[in-house]
Amino acid sequence: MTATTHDTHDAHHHGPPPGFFKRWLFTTNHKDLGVLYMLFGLLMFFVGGAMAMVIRAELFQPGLNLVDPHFFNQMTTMHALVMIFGAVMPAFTGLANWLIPVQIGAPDMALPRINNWAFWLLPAGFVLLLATLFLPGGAPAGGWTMYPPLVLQLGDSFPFLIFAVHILGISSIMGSINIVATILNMRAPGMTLMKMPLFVWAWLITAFLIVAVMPVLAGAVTMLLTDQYFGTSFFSAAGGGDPVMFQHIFWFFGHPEVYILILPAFGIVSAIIPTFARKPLFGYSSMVYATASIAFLSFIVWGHHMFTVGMPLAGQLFFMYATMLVAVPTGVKIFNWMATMWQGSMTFETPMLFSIAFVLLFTIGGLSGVMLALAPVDLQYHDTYFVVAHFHYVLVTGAVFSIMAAVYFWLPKWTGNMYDEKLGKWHFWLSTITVNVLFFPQHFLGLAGMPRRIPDYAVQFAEFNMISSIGGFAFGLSQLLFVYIIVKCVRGGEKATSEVWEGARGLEWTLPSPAPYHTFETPPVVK
Amino acid sequence: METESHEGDAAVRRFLLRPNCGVYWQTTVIVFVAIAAVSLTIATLFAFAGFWPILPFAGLELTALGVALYVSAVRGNYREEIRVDSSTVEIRKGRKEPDRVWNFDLAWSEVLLEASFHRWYPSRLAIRSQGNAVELGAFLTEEERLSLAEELRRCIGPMAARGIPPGGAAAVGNRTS
Repeated sequence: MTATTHDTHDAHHHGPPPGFFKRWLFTTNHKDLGVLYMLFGLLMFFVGGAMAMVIRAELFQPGLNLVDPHFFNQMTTMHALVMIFGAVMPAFTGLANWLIPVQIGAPDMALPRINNWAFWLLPAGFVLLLATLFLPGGAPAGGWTMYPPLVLQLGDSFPFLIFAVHILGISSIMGSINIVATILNMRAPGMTLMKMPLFVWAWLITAFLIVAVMPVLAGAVTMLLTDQYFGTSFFSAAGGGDPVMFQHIFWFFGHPEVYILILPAFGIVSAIIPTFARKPLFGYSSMVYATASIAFLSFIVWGHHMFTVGMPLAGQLFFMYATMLVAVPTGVKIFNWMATMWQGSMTFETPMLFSIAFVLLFTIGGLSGVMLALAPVDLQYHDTYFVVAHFHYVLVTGAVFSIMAAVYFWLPKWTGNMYDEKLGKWHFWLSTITVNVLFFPQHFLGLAGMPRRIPDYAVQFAEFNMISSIGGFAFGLSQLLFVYIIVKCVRGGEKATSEVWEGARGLEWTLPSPAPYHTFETPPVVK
Repeated sequence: METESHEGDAAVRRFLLRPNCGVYWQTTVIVFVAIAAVSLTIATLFAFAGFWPILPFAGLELTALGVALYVSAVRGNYREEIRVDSSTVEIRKGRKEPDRVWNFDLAWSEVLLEASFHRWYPSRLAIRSQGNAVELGAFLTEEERLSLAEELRRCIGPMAARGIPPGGAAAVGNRTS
């Protein structure tokens, strides 16, 4: 057979058309999309942060001072939705986009066009969600957990909330499918699963969790929608439904979601600590198995979020012990990070500082989590500021600190320039001190009985709230320095070498800095 | 990406191009079955409890995942083969077995390397003959593509048309992995 036609089969392998808007709108390049995800995450970090500032400003003093209670509730609800689905998840997905192909020796993600679509669904979803702030009745105000029947009383914002969650869910699923396909089918020859960097492992397991639980969230919010508009009674007691079942279903999604927000952080820290300790990671295999164990346990601990709904004793015991079991693989990880540092030739550049802070402060969040796992104790702590302190230690000094560590660690690889180390350290110390001023007093507030999600409080809580608010404002301002450091690094600076860090190991460090638009001018060698 | 050049018969040169990703089909199937088992078990249990809307979402998602894994695995088997003998250039493209074949007259063929408009974007390599062009090695890295272009020019183009046999140039194996 002889065919003589012009071949256009592989046209999509080439870069996007020239022009700023065309490039960024239509790009299928994993690095471009990684950058877009991270910039979007940064933008949403400030949007969600602004909401947090409203909350802390209102709580600065007792009394209703700045905003009305309904708007305060909108802020608490939207702050959580924006930070979870807009800031942390996209930032991790951005890191996955940028790093996974270069860490496994692949030229790009497996499905580049779907990658583009997955990203651009995010702004669409958030336009829908944030637009609710301008609707009659305002934004969703019933808490990010969307419990019925409260959520059904939202008014105009309710369908916007449901469709926004659907769109964000589709984006997450498409991103995860792409990650799974990339890791399984695009690895360089010789890159067996147990040779993959831990960040890749962590993301494979995270993607597994997302694929497993996102249909649960999608189904749950769809049932809310049909209950509201189509006369079903899945969660309506009046029609024979069970509102508590929504809580079970939601937290069946929600607890794995918590690990979706933290497992990639484990992968990041597992890359950074060995680099600056100049030692291989201690216990690589046990790290992989620990991550998988945490993922497995995440499916069987949802009940600890709802001990107070009324649960049989056997149920309470099961969820209590299952939750406490999570401490075992998490402890293995913390032990391994410490063992990696032990007798290492440590240096303390900004990524390492953030990683060490992560280990210490995430452990505080983990230990308060063990306290909350105890059913009899949780009955006392439930819905207090102790819970707020706990999950902010996990998500801010855990997830967010790991993202900051990752940005400092890989920024020279992305830009070709070293960031300003002095300013980086200033950012670290300001963030670390202020974040503790912000969240540590909330433990005491919770133990003293201050409920969460309230705009006013008894005067006995005034001092710790004022301290917490001052910490919050300072932490928020500190993040402007983070943006300045990034912009300064993008614009120029000392040129980075390929290896960037003396102890860095992995395929991405064999690439020049900045990494070329299409990866691997030097083909990867997997030993 | 991998590029191989073979020179068994001195008068014939053969280049085999294939994506630089291992084929781990068995692992892919195992992981997919594991994800599907977990997801469907969860969705089915909820369906039995009366919360059936979770099941179609799980089904849709697993279908999408299955398609994505299949498509990307199939792409990993993509091959391009260029065979140059004393009179013809044969290009074969396909997965495992070639499903598209082009035959050009060596004397009327030339190697085109179109530089990118910006250093971020890759160049494009093609073999053109009598107004028709076939693009090659779009999945290669820039370095590999340039190396391949150099190799091809040694056996295709004006010098070859003047009677220098394809095997006349020194063979440079550019297999990279």
